[in-house]
Amino acid sequence: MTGTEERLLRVLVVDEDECIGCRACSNLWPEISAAVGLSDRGAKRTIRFPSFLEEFEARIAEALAEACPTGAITFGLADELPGEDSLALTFEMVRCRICGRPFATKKEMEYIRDRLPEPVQARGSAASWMDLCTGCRQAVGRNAAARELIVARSWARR
Amino acid sequence: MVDDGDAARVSLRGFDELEIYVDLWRCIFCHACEVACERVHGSSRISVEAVKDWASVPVSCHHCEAAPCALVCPSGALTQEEAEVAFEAGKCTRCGLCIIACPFGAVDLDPAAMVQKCDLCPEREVPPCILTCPTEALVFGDRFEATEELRKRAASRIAQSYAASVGRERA
Repeated sequence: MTGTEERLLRVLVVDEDECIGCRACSNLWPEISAAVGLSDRGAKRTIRFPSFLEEFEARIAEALAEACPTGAITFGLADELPGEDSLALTFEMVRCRICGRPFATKKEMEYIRDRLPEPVQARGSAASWMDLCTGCRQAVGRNAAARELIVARSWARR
Repeated sequence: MVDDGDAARVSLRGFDELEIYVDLWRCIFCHACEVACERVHGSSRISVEAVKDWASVPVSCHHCEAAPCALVCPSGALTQEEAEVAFEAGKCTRCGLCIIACPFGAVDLDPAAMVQKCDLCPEREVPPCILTCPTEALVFGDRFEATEELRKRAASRIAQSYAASVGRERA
């Protein structure tokens, strides 16, 4: 290998197949949020990773690699700057079946499905609660609880 | 913002598996529980909303058995402990997967801060939401105590309505 230790650059490597488009890297620390850009536009989420940052300290690099739930982020050392300034990954998002708001990436949903033992049934909703955004999940639960109360009240007045 | 993230998880309650139960008959939509929670944690982890003019329903963490949030948490910040789902802010990466995994929509991510989820206030004898609820709609106890209390209330409602209907028949 040529070049001294100082000349080696810390280069960010993101495994496109492993990355699920969650917010672990972009949300971790404020100084990282500034470097890793996450934006949701319509039903698409884009995460822009810098391929190289001069000020990347070992501390930040380690934290990024450690925070990633799927181990998609690694760091390598390179002699020269990578050709691209940044790497942008785009993820398709799932829309809420009730309100239509995109609330998670498809890959996030797969990650979660893989980790749940069986379809978990939530009160007042079909097993399809996973198709709903958090707000609509709350609303469905509230509606079911309120209906039960109404039934119980009308029974008590008989 | 009150930082309670790294507070030692020393329970004053011994090994009792205490949880929060809701008696919807008594909830009057006053938001006192939300205010109490916000006072302690900086932002509220319980939310009360009205369903039409039928009822007001508080929603907070159910502390599920085999909790999906804890199953998907990649960093070990959310953990299943007996009848409780504990949250350790220091380990949280704020990836947001728990929010998508909660069947009840009871986990929140404050964009400026941290994952917000009821932790049953382990450092207190009784959570402030319970102490503040003016109608005792929120019931705190293990599942035997709490459901016994709720059953007693239901029984007394039935007895009252029965007495009323007997009264109507006699009149």
